[in-house]
Amino acid sequence: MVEIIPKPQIKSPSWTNVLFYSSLVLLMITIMGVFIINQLQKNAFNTSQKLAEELEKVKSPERFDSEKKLIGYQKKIADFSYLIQNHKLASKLFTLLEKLSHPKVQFTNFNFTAEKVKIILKGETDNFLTLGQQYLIFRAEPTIKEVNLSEVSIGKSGRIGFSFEITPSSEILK
Amino acid sequence: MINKTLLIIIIFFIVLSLGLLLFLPKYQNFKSSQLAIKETEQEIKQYQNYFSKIEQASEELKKYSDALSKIDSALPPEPTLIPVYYFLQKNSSQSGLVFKEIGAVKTTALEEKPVIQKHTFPVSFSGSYFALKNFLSVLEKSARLFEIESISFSSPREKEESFIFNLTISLHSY
Repeated sequence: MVEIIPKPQIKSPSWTNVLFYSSLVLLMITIMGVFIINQLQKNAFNTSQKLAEELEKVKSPERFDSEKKLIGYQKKIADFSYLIQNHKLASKLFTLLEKLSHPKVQFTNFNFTAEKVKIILKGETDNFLTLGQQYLIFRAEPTIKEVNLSEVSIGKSGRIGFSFEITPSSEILK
Repeated sequence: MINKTLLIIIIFFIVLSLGLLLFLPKYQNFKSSQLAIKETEQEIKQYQNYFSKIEQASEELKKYSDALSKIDSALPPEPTLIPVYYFLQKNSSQSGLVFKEIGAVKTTALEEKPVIQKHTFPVSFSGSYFALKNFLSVLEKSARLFEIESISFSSPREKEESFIFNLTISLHSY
């Protein structure tokens, strides 16, 4: 049977249309997003390659050589400073002893050890008075920390023999 | 209507697949690449700053080349004792002493700085007291940084005889 009156077209609900077009837009956005992120990743890869090359240039062996040299000098300067701080000038002892020697006292034997900063001075003099004066001169000297008198003896000639053990301040040797 | 709904589902499925399988991993890669780029850039900056400071310090050090060469001679990489013996012989005679003999060298590492080697040897001279003082002054002014570990001498029995000076000298090297 022929239908004379046409049936009204079934219209899809409006929400389906909205959803359909939205999904299409979403699909487009997703495809574009994939392309964009792909491009960005390529760019990032290129940039990181360039940066890696630049880093290699910055970390050149020549620069590390000068760093090594500098560290070497730094170490050497520190070691030298240590040595110079502990350096002792033995000649200053003689200047001190020349200043403190009694004119009537004769020193015959000199012994100095830097490790203990100790001087052993043996000698002789005419009498106990000059020996006592010499002792007092050493005692009065502020740069001498300790003085010990020992081995006092009277020789065949009547002269007095003695031995001084002197501990000067280590500051005097600087 | 059915077709459209199906299409919407298919599109959503494609969007989801593209998002999860392509976009998300690429995005994560991109993010980590960006992080790596930032880190590399920072590393380059740090290295550039560091090396520019090193270059500045190296330039600064060039101004002190005289002092550095003195440090080099005070702390040589090798003991080089033969030139030292020559130095002692030459300078003792210039000071008025007669070089007698040189003993065995004892090498020890410094307790406080084990990288530094200390070479100690006895040496004896004959001459006058003033010649010894001159010689000590030469040693103390030398860039080789001689240390006088000990000095001992006795006055000669006869007035015409010279003093015999026994010294223990030490010097340092790496």
